[in-house]
Amino acid sequence: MRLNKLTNGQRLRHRLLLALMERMNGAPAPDVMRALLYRPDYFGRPYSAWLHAVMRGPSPWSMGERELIAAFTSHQNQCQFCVIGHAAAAARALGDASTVQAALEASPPAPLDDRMKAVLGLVKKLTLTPEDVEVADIEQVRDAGVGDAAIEEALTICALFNIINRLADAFDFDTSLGEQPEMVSKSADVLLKRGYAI
Amino acid sequence: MSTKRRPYQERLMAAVLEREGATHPTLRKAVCRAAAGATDLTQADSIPAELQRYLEKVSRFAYKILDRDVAALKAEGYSEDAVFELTVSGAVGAGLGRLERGLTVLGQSARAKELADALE
Repeated sequence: MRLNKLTNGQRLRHRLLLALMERMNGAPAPDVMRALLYRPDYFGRPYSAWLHAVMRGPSPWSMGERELIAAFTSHQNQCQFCVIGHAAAAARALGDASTVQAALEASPPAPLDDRMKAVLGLVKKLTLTPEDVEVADIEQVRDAGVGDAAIEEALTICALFNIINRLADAFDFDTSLGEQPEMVSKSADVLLKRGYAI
Repeated sequence: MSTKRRPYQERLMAAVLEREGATHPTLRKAVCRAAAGATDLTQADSIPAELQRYLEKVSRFAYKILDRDVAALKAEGYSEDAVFELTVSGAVGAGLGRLERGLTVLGQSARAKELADALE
C-alpha cells in the first residue's frame, strides 16, 4: 500500500487480529481490513457500522441485490479491488455468476428484473455524473416498481462504495487475490457470513 | 435525512471531519466540501495548491492515482497520517455529496408526486 502506516501501523491488538485472520483464512489479510483497522475510530469503525447496517440489515433488497449494487458502483469507479470481492459475493448470494458479470459489463444486457435494471441505471448516473441526476431519473426507477425506501437504500450503498472505491485506489489495495479463484470464493463466503462490522 | 441513516452519517462525519488528527478540521472540511461538488478543488483557495491536484484525482478519478502522487505529498512535508486524513476526507465528500444529490432529487420527486396525487 502507498502508506506504510496502513500496512503495519495498527495498534498491537489490531495487528494480532489481522494475524489471526490470516491464520484462519490461510491468506494475507485483505488491505481493506488493514485500512479500516488503522486508527479505526477515525474512519473504519463509523464507516463499517453504517455499511453493515445498510448491507446486512432489514432491507427491501436481498443481500445479493445489495452486493450487486456495490459491485456495479465499484465497476463504474473502475475499482478493481472492490469489484473482485463484491461481484463474487453477489454471484454467491444470487447463485448466478453469469448474470452478475453481464450486469457489470452490460453486454449482452443482463437478465435482471426491471427493478434492478432501473436502479443500476440510477446508480451509474449518480456515480459518473451526479450533477445530471434529476427527477425524471427517480421517476424511471419508481415506474419500474421500486419504492422510495428501496431507492434511498440503493443511493446509500452507492455513496458508501463511492467512498471506499476511492480509498482502495488512492492507497493501492492489493488486487492479486483476484488471481486466485478459491481465495476469492472463500472471501465471498466470509463477507456474506460476517458482514462488514469491525 | 431518514432517522435510520442520520446517526450513522453524523457519526462518520464527526469522526472524519472533527476528530483531532494530523490535519486541522478546517482543512478537512474544506476538502470534504470541495469533493462533494460544492467547489472546484483546483479553485479552492482554502486548499493548498500542492494538495489540489491530488485531491482532484481522489474526487474524480482515484483509479488514476499513482505512487508518485502520494510520494509528492510526502516530499512536500505531509505525514502519512495527514495524507490518510485528507484522502479519507475527500473520499467521504465525494460519496456523501452523491448521496445528498440523490436524496435531494428523491425528495423533489416525492413532493411532485404528492402534488400530482392531490390534484387527481
